[in-house]
Amino acid sequence: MAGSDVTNKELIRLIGGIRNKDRRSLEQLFNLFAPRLQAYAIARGCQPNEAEDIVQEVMLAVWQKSHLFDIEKASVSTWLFTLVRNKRIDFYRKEKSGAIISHDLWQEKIHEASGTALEDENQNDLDSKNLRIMINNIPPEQRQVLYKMYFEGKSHIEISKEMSLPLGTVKSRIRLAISKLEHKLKDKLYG
Amino acid sequence: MASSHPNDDLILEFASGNLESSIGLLMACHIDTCEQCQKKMAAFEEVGGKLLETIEVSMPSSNLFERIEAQLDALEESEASIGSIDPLAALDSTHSDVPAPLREFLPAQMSHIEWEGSSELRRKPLDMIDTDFQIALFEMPVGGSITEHTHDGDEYVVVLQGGYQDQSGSYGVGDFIFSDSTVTHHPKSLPGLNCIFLSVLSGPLKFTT
Repeated sequence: MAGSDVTNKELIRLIGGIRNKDRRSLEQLFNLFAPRLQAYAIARGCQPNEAEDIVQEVMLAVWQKSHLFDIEKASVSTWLFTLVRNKRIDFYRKEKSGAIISHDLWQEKIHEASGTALEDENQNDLDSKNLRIMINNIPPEQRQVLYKMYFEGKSHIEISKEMSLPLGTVKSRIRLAISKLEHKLKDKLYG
Repeated sequence: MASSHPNDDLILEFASGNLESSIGLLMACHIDTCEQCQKKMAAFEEVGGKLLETIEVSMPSSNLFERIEAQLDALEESEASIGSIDPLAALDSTHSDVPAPLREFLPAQMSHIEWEGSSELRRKPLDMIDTDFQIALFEMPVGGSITEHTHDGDEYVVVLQGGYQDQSGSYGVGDFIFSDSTVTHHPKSLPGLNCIFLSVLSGPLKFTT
């Protein structure tokens, strides 16, 4: 990133600052992630001004809910991913129905716990870094399929049409990519 | 704990944010109660987080952070004047027996739901626009059953209260059941509480008797 070398440990330090209502910590997190959150919303079909509204909502949620984020269960980037994913879905549903959408209808609580102490999380940080390296090492054709699914919101069928690939090939690329990560994830999640 | 679960493909679609409407809401109801699927979901979200770290950036307007700070100022001002209210705490009322993802659509108590239809099978449609699926809550009384049927499309069900059994098994609270046009079944409610389930259908039921 602007922060590809920023470790989860450093991000956790920023979350610590945000918990203490330090706006400069929020600004640093914003500088690192806003361009990524913006890119996510645009990849999902939002106009730039709509994407900015979503980024704003995400940063506001970070400010208001940092004390609920459980650093032992997820890395900061994963938390931000779930926030932007959910805010984008809220936005989509609001657009479609005109309904007022409550905060956090969609799952976030699995990353939340009541006030975890901000300890030195070396192991968590190492896992997080390894996973990022693993994702970077996934063959480009598998990464591309993951990207289309996670960021462009394409279904398996849409990806298969767009890339002129048999549906089975798309599914197997996704499975291969996920299974490569699964071992690492299993260590992390199932302990 | 739930014994019947969505497949990994569906959990992956949900985790990656691709199930916006009815099926997403139904998945949220299952995952809300299912530790096993929560773990898978967390794993798939971790992939999303790492992809976010490697995505090509797109710069927002240079004054966006100023706008955010202005909003924080306004928030602090209103908190100072009316006292701090935690919107989550208000929403996540411990007095409600309605699963959290459905609270936007239903009264706080399941017993206050205004059902439509006969006492054999009562229905409560959810106010959600979805062109591909019909979503509704159903209540089947203890000892009740639904006439044998198959489906013109796909049917997704999550049990919210009580339980039912059919040819393929017995299902209780939290269970996720998928049926397509190859499945013919005759669900009967289990003893105990009335069976309440959330159903998402892509096509009508086809009664076979």
